[in-house]
Amino acid sequence: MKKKLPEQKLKKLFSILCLLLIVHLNALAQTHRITGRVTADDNSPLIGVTVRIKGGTVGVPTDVKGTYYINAKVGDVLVFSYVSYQTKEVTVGDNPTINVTLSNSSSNLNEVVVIGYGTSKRGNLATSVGSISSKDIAIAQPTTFDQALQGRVAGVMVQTSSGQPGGAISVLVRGLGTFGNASPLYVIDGVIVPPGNQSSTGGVFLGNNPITDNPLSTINPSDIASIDVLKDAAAIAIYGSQGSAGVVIITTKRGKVGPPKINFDGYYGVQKVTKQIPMLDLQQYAEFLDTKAAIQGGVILPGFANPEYLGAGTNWENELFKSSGTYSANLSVSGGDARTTYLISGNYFNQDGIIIGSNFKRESFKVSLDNKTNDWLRLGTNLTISGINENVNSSQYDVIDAAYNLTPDIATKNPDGSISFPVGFQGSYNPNPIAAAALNTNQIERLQIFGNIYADILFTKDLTLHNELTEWFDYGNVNQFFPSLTINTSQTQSSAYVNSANNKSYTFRNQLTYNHTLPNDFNVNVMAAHEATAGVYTYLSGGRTNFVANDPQGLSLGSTTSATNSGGTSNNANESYLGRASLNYQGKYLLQASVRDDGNSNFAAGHRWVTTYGLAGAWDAGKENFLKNDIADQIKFRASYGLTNNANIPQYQYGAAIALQTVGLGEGAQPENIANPLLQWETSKEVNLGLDLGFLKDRIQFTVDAFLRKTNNLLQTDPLPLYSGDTGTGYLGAPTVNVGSIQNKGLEFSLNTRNISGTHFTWSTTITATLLNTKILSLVSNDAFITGIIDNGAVTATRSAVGGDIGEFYGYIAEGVYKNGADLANSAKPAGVAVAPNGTWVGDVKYKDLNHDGVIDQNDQTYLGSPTPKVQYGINNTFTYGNFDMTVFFNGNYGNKILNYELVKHGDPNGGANYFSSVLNYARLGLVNPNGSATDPNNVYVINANTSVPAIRTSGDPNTAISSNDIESGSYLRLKNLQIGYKLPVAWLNKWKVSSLRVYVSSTNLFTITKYTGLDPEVGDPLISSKGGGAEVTGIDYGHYPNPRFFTFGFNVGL
Amino acid sequence: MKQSKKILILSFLTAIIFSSCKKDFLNKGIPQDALTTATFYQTAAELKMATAFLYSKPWFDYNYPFSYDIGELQSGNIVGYIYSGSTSNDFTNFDIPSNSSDTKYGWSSLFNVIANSNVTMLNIEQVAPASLGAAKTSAIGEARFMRGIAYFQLVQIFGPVPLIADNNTLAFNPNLRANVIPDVYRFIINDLRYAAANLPLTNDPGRVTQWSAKGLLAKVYLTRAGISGTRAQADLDSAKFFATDVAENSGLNLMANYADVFLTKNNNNPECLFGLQWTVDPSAQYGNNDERQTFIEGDGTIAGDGGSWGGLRISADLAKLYSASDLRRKATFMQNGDTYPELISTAHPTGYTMTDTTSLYIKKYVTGGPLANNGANITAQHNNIPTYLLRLSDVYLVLAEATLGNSASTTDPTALLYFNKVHVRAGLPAVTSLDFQTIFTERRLELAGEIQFWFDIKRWHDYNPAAANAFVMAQHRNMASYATGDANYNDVLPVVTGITDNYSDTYTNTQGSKNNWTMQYPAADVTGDPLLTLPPVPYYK
Repeated sequence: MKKKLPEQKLKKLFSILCLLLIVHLNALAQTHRITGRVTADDNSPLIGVTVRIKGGTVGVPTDVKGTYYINAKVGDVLVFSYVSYQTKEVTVGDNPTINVTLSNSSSNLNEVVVIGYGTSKRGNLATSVGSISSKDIAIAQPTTFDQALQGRVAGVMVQTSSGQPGGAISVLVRGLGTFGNASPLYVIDGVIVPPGNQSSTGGVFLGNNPITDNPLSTINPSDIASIDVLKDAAAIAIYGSQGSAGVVIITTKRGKVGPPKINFDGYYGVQKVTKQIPMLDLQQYAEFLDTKAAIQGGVILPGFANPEYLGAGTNWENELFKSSGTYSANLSVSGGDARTTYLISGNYFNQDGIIIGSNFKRESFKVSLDNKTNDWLRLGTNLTISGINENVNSSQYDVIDAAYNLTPDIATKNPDGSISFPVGFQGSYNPNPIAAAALNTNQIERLQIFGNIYADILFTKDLTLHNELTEWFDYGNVNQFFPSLTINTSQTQSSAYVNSANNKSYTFRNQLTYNHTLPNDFNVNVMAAHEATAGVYTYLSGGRTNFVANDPQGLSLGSTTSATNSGGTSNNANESYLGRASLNYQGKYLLQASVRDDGNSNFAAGHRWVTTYGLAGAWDAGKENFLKNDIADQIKFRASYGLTNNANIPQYQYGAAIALQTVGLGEGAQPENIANPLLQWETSKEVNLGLDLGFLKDRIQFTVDAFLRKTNNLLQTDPLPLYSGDTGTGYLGAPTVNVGSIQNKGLEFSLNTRNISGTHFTWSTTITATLLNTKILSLVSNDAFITGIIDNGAVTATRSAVGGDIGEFYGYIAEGVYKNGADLANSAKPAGVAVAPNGTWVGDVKYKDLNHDGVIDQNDQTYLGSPTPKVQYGINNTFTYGNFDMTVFFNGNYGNKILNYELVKHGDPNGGANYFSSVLNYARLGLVNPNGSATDPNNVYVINANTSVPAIRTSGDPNTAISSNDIESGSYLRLKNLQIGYKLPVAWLNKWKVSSLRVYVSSTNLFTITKYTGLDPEVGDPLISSKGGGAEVTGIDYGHYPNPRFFTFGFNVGL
Repeated sequence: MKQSKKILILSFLTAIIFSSCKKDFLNKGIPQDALTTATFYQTAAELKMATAFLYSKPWFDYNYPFSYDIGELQSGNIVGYIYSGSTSNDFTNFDIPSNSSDTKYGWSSLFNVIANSNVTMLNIEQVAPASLGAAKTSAIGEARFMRGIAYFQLVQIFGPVPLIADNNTLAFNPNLRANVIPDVYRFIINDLRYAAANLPLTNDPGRVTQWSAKGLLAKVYLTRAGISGTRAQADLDSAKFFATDVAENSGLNLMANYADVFLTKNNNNPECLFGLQWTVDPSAQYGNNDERQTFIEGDGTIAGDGGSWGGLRISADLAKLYSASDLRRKATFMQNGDTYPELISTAHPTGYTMTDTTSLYIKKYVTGGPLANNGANITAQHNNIPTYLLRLSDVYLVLAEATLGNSASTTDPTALLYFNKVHVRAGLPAVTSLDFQTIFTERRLELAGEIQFWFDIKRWHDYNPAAANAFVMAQHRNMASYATGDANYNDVLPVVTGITDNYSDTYTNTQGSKNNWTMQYPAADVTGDPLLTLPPVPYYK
């Protein structure tokens, strides 16, 4: 490796550390043996409390009776610490027995926060880090862990992309600051999962859409001990380039010293769709079509002549949605002695979707082992193996949209039991979603292994070398089969496709930490590390058509002449040098600096290496003598600044690859994209100001953070016009370029209060809120913008322009309909279209003439709101009364807009397929003089003049443009979780040798208050599909898989 | 533990830390499963691979449905069937929404051809060694032919369009203005003249030759002749010159039997000067296949390949034009009672017999499934008959039209000779004098279903808008029916259902007010590039 100054700097730093190491190799002084017992407030023994000498690293645990033994000198300070208890310090005197009582603490100041390559107490943080614990996760009962972050961590916005069990979720830390992938970096027990990393089954085309599954759905949420989110640049900097969009660190549970603990958690739940959109039933549909035929001069369909005799017909939503069950069982065994601790857990999870043809199963197994081999060596491993199996029929075929497209006169099945199709329908795909879900196979399976082994060498009590190898394997199979079936007169061909992929990566990490406390409680912590990651992805896929029969379905049973296959491999690598120094003077003054040097193979030589850094400082005024009082425990001011870098682009965009393929003339070579050898890192600079307040022995804790982030050199696919040839089949890929800058600013609040803290009754509240503002500062030019195009390139829905947000909706402002001839004559109309029943006519939507030029054209379009919530919030209340406990968690969005694209398609009386009931409010045209002309505009008026739904036209449909009619408020307030639990009294349980048993009932998404008329206001990021996807087209409801309402019953047993 | 031991471990681990990376660690970003443009284009075979791509995938979205929308539906040769959706009717009725996805795909497909041709010719110029000689200039000639013919489609459909000679430059300076029509034609002619000078006299089957370039040049000159509103004699002379050169010097001849031209066993027969090339190889990526048959066939059992979208139908306007003895009729469309022995499928083991008395099915480019094509892997949307965009008979008729020029009629012997080669092959008696109407109708019948007729009407409209308008207004743009014993084809009255509504027997179109003689640019580019709709500017300074 040619470079690098930073490396030399680190080498220098390292030499200094070596010297320090030698200096501090000192012998131990004369010691006594101290013993004692550690108990809780209720005098029960506390097992596994760490007892250590202040300033030292070696601690001993308490045993099952709460007893400990430790060697200490007179004058040493013993520190007793235990998770979720207040840490206590006792100075060793002459008495060799020291008994201690620890109080349960809801204070989070002593909470251990994972900050990346180390941990810190929350009280000692100068950066902005949000955390949730296993308790929060348990309440949320998430299918995948990321759901549990919603509304619980200020600054983190979570929206489900699909309510499909185990489906993709968008997690945004401090808003969208890039056009590229803005998902955070996930670090799971040291295994780095880069942002936007697809699972081994991701991106494979199934049906119409590629799979966008959740690569982390294999992780069992109940294995997680804590999730910490690094938010500001100074916190992120230690992860360098990969963490520019925030870092989510997941720490799984590990064993604690103590006798074996066996826990079993199980729940069973039922889920149901919360809402259906009223559609025309058969009678209404027939009446509507008859009216249409009368206006358009068509014939009345057979059987529709007398709608009053018709029944309700098929309600396709009823056919599609079902109530379904979820079962989760989790068994863990943990424990250990002073030398070795262990945890073994197994989990089975099975969730059926609320839409036919969707389900999710997960089996996982985890083992973690930590061993204190001797006084200078620690070894350990953590291994999680999990497998998932998903049926994704529903999300791959836009089934909700397909159901809306079917009319109530079509039966779900023919009288003879065969599948029915619309009359006259021909084609090779199955338009009946119910039949498609039952007949097609669309299965994905993944086996994932996360693992690490580590060896820590303790050179002295202050100097530790941590060596770690992490491995991540992800093996995926996609299996699809479409049977041959007869659709009216045509026979479709059976076809099958399989894909098998594996994704492997390893990281080798060496990390040297020097932690020394000088006199006066002045702590110095210096860490330097090297990290190298390499990954390889390989795949092999094949397909065939024309199977002997629809069953069996093995690939080799298809016709050999139709056999296809493909395969490939790709590599990535990342190498980094990093370091961090933290100074802590009595918890009063905190200073931290981190630096990381990254090389990334996505850039050409010369642009590869980049330095990321962060600086943070804090002052806890509450610890100053002049402010010390009984009311304020903490008055901490924090400030940080950092520079982060982003390389989230497809590889080899600095050059251009050639794709070889079979073409009409044999072998053909296609250049894939336009190369940009000047491609460089996207950079973000962020300032964060924070204030942490704690009052009344931490009964009230308040944190506020304000941040300002500016991202320059935005990496994006050059937004080129269609005439650059960069879209459609056989396109030449646009280059990836560094263009533009974005500013994100925001405020994050979190408030924890213990409102009532009685012996029998407690009540505590947590409120988090995130306020965000995103602004595009520059693009190619000041008047440049990026258009968001949806629905197979047909519809321009959004525009991202300088001064605005990313992906703002763009279109016309609708002002009702043209009410009569005078209104038509006096209002602006589209240019070049005659005033006539088949041109512009009374009852058409009247768009606002924004530029007052008397003509409605593209210049009258404007911004119609942003899909990004202005505020996302969560309010959690926890109550306990005796053995009862209750948690009530609300969350919501405020200030975002949704483009209800289903309304565009099914709310237009001149559109096709089936209609929402709202269509019945179409503008009804009347004649002023009933004997006069129906083609004289002055003789025509709208009877229901205030409607916004256009009239049925004689022909054509000029009312399809995106307008304010289709944009709805996305604000909502949702009772996300409600859980009531009861702990059975210990006296009852002793008979069965059960140490604890809690039963609970819980509900998720019990109710939602919203004005949104679609199925679910939580629309989020659309899945990438033929309809369009990406940062510039979010918040669009294409028949989004809604979040279901859950009711569960569960219990936790401890043995 | 001893201090020395610790130091030993420490030194050892330090060594690991700072030496773990091999030199090529970060070069892993260079693909190992793909070639790169920096190292390709080294041999004549590689240049052929580079140009072979230009005949297939970039054209896919143009090939269907857009070319049929323009060439057949808008021209009134073909109409939609009730279940083929309302897009067909939009083009029949000149009622094309600005956000039409067909238009968007057609536009971007033609520009994909241009982008790929540009990057291919530039890469070849820069990377291919000079020692490849004629292989290099010929490959560049192929790319320039492609760019030329793509622009020729664009200018005829959309009028002024942006001229792009280098997509690398465009990528960093987007938002162009459209260029004036005369400059677009000059650009096309420059490309085709280069191609004519550098392409070989003969080439692998399906690849363009010097004769392809010259034949197309003739057509481009003929079309350019009228763009100013009156036909320029110099362009008519150039058209005649190049067409005569092809007719007399290429050594190519028409096939004896018209129907044989459109059988897959005769793919790329010498009569075909340029066709888009498709494959049914199962390993080919989607986009290199011809999907037309699945969409245009009137009956899914004809191909029996598992897919059919209801098809398109022949219009009454076209059907009524064929004389009973015209051999091209049965090769162009199917009517009740026709039997096609070669269209063998499981459902029709002795060939397909058409029995529908309510409409006429398309035959041209409906070539059947595997059993009708020697076991070829033909499946839904996957066929491999080329889409012929330039045939020798087309060039012969260009020769006749250019010779006629601005005269009312002609008896020029060369013009008559080549006109009659086309006319007599169709089973019709030779003519002795040519006028506009004779040639116009002959082109329509000879090239029906080959996405040319709209361009013929448009070429006429350029210098005689009143006549072309009147012609379109009088067309019977609806389905035709034919029952055995009928004296003629019958107009089919509207079949109104809940799905479609735009059928009208007495067609009155509004193209005058909607300016549909040139189409609107796709909405995405109109909003994306505010400069595009400004008045077009010259390209050549």
